[in-house]
Amino acid sequence: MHKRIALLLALVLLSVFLTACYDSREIDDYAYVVMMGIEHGVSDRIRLTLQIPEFTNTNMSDSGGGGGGNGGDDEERAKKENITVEAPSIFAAVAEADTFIPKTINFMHLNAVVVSEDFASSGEMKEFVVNLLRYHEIRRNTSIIVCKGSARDFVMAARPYLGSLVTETMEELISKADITGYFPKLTISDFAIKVKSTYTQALTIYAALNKGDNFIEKGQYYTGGFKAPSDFYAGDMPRTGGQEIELLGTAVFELGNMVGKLTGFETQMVELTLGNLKRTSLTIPDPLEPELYIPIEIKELEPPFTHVDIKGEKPMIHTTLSLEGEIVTIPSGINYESPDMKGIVEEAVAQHIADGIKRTFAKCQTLKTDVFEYGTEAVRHFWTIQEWENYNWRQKFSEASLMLHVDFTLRRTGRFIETAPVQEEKK
Amino acid sequence: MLKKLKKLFIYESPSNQEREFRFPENPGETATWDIYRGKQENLEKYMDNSGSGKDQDINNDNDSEYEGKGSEHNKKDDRSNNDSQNNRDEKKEKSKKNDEQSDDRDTRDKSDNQADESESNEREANEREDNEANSEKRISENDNDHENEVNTPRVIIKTLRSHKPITVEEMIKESMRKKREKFKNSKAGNNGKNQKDDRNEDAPKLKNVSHSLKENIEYLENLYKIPANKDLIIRKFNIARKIPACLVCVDGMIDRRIVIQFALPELMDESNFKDYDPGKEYILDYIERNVLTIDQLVRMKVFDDINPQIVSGLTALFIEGCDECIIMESRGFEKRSVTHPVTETVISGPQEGFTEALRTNITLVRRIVKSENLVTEFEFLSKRNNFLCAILYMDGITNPRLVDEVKRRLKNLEIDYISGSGMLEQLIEDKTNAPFQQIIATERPDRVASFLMEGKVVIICEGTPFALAMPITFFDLFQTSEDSNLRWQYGSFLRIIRLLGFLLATFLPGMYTALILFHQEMIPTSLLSSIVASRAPVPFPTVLEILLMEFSFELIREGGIRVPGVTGNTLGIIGALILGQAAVQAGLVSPVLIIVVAVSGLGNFTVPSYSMSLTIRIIRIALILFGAMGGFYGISAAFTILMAFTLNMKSFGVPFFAPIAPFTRSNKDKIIRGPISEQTYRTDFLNTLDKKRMATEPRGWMRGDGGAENDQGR
Repeated sequence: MHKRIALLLALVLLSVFLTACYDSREIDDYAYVVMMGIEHGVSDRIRLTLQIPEFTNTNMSDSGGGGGGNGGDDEERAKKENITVEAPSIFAAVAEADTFIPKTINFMHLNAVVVSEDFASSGEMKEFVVNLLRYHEIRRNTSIIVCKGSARDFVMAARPYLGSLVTETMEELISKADITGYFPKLTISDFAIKVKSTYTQALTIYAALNKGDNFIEKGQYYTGGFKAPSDFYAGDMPRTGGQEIELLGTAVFELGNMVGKLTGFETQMVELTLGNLKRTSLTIPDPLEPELYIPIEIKELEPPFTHVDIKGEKPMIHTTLSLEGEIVTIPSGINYESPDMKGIVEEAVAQHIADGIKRTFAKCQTLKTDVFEYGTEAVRHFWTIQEWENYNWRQKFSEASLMLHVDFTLRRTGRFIETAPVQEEKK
Repeated sequence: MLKKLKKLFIYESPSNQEREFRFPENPGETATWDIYRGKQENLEKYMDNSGSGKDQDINNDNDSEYEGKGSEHNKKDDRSNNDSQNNRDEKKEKSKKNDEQSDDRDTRDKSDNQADESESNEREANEREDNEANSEKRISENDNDHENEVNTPRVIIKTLRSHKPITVEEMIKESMRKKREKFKNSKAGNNGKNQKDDRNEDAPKLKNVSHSLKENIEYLENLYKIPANKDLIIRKFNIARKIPACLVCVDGMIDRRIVIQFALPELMDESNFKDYDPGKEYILDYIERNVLTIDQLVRMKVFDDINPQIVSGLTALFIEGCDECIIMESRGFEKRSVTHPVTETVISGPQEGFTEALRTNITLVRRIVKSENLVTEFEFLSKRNNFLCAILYMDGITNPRLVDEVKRRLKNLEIDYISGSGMLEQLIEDKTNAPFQQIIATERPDRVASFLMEGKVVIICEGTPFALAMPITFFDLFQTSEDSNLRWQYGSFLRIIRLLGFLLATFLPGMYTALILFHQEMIPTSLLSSIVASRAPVPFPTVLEILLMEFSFELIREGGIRVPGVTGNTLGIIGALILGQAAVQAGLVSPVLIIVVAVSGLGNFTVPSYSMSLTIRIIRIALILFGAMGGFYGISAAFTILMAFTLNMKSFGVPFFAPIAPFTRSNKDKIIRGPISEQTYRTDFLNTLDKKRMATEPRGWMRGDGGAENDQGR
């Protein structure tokens, strides 16, 4: 028995020597970075902005606080620290920050990396962002955002909204992508993989600060025609109130450089094609009374089917989308529920989606970026990597033609079985 | 070192040399057991085999020693008999053998069968004594007879000793083993010598009941240190105004009514002796048949047998001119009435708990298991306080080898004092250093009944309201009698809750420490924020903080037990509340940690077994330390070591995780308790004689034939 006890003690001591407590740190000894902004520096190569929240119990009732750095009067409420350091590299900046932050900077809870549009377009981004992944504290599922304007402003504007934490706010905001499809849900990992890939191109979330400049409070009433919802870029939304951060659209990269961006509507079309959207809403003009609009809830019936035909000189892309949907309202009062009329709506929706996709496809062809990931289908026809690389998919994609088939079925008509028109003076 | 490491982690099939207890693999092996059931052919077989000359020699020596004294008595009275009985050695052996008998005599509530048996035994004994009485010439023959009878139990002990396990230590080298055995042998030899010495020392005190009442009284006064000792009552009186006699009993242990109403008046009354003719009838026979109106009477002539009876509360009647005394059942000491079980309360099910009175406890079990197969054997365990325990098992269900093993362990205890089942449990368990208990103590008769019906052996001890059941597995420690009283969904739900409680109680504080100190990335940010915020004012490191809190929690728990009466409960609640609240406000402890400690404490209370909950508390502290040293790695290491110890554990030959590791056939009754009607088989690892508990479909009414042939599927 004594020997066994000795053995046990040996094991215990062994475990101590193997691990020791050297990497044990108290949970409150760290400064947890929740958001990181990268852009061009003035005094050095990059300017790194870190947002470090101060975890206290007092920020529970925060609903309308301002940013810590630039908020002013609400500074007390949302306690957070924004640090901006200029340095030759990210980790040099972190090391420099350690000289004036008492707690150890820790990236384990980093929520989003924000890169300014200038920095993304300049081609330096890939070097910094891809290499972030090498560091053990960075999670691969950290979101990546390209923002219009200064990344520093963006990080400073990020603040808890209807919640107590910036991370919560950002996570919830980003998870909205599953419902609206107005922006993609992309992480550093996605970016790093795609930026190295030969059959697809990197994308990031596109975001901007919207300070309400597009909101015109008084003026003439709108008389223009139908505009698809969110068919504009981040920062352009006519709104006021809410938080300044606005995620809308996609930043499109070619060879690691940002070359363009997609609007919210275009992003929605891309997401539909990729099968990422299980449910979304769409608004189309009423096919019989175009001045009125029909909002429709769309669901995916079957995963999209794609086939790329590379036999000809130019590749032919065949895509079939199977969707179903439910009418939310019919303002015109036309009885679209009846079997005869149903087809009209179905056709209109299918046409609307097909138009949107074709428009986006054409736009991407001009940017030479295959955001639809057709490359992953095309690559199947090649036996070796060399053959594929010689095929030069980026070039071929820009010449490809799209054979799109959208299949839309109206399953339900909301809670009304039959529409009776609202009484009007003369019809 | 490596070899030993290997031994600890790698399972090796037991070698032939390992002589640990195991269950018989074929029915033939159970033959040994048949002796206990009194099968004549087996007795004879063992008698034939017994030829140990050594023991005979000892007997003869002693016989010759006592012969002289005995012959003196013979001169005094013609009716004197059997000097050979004076032999202390024989008596010792006999008392061992007779324990069962004598205890049967002690017991009031015995079944008819047993009563008959004991009576017949007495009769046999009397006849034998009469035969022996007549001539000194026959002494040698008698001796032989005695030897045969006396040797029988002795042989049994020998056969038992032949497979006595020398503590199984695979790690010890062969040479060490031999050395140890040598040492043991020499020790055993010494013991024998000591016994002999003791005997010689005791010899002058040794005495049969004398014909002279005065001598008896003097002897008893000397033995019980009267007048210094005030407890013993020696009531001298005359039977029928003529024959001097005395009643001997211990004050407080007896029911006075029996002495006052049924013994003394009847004996003193002259009219009761009108028909008595001293020439024709022996006075003891007459008294026994005609005078004493008491249900249980036993005649004894050896003081070594008489004394335990007197101290147990029976009354002895000594009569001038008789070398025997009558022992009357008169026990009537104060005892607690049957109340709710305190430590194992359930909501549905019987609400009776054991008390301190052994007889009451056995009755409580017998009221549930009304079966002729329930065997109750008695055993005096300790040398000085005559600690009595009962071994209960179901004949025809329980594996005889198991009963054999339990009795072997009990019989080979050499200890002065045992206070209760708790001490006994420690003396007969397999591994003293193992983290978990190997015998379960329960306060509930219904639980004991279910253990018995399952094929386990139960020991009930005098003076403790707990019965011990063995062997047990890990899963027994989680089950309560409520599980089977409730419908299976509810029972399973309760068990899952209990298991979760166990897991929380064991791992939560350790995991928390590991998470806080090493794995901050695994905590969701919002949770992290609350933890950091709550920890901000705390000046201590997390380990110290959690150990401090655990310690104060243990203090409250331990203090709550000691605090008298009503205040105890309030202390628990108020102590926890005030301490927790104040600690948080003072910034000594973070509120999150209080939740962690409180939840793990609550989880601890869900474990039905008290010993188990203590085990969990110890493991918890260890896990906290390991978690603080090595994070999740430390916890895994600690868990591995713990499992290596635990999986190596056996309770009476049954591996601790029996139905799962090693995997054996079992009903759905481990964590999820299946419907009662599907609990077809008894647990496999118990190797019961009757494997099936019920028919394949016990609900005969559900079958097509309407239950016409319900033959339990056999």
